[in-house]
Amino acid sequence: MEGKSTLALCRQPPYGNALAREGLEAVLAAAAMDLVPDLLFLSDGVFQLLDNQSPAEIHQKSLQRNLQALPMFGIEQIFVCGRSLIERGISADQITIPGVEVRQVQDTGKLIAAYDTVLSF
Amino acid sequence: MTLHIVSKSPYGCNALTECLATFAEGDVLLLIEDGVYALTDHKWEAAPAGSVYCLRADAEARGIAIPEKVEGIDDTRWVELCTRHNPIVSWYK
Repeated sequence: MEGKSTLALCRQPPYGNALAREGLEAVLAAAAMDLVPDLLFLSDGVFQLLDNQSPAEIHQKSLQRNLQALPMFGIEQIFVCGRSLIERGISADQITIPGVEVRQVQDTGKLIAAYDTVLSF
Repeated sequence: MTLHIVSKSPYGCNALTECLATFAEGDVLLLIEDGVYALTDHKWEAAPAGSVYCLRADAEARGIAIPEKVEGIDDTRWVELCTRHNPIVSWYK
């Protein structure tokens, strides 16, 4: 696997189904096995990055702790689709992961095309 | 007077659009679960003033602000809406 680049697409909103959480868990597990993927948040997946989430009342754990673990696992190339943000009225200052720079990309097709392997969650 | 319950994000699913297309006078709209993401857009404003509700816990869980024209409600009030409206239509796809 040496030298193979992997990108994980995060396309699901955080609490309505399990895919957002399970996608992040798969990414963290891969990173722990020395396969460190880059991440691209797009479509409703950008909602995972919104600040001020407080899901205690719907009996779920906040996804933000998983996001905060990303840099600890060496995952530091994190991208977000600029068009998805605009469509949803989300500004850059509403999306942060402590300890990592989340970089906006406009041409997601070009970004994806540069990877050997792409996972989609 | 129908209670329409929408539980999916309007960006990934047509549920809200299809629901609003069937909206009749006296109907009300309740956004739950990922349906609360509709509050980041203006589509819900097609429903008459005062007829749009959302589950406050679902909005707060997702970090979504509730606009002034939308009433954030709890489960008790949801049950009360169910008793006041008939039929109840769930738009979950």
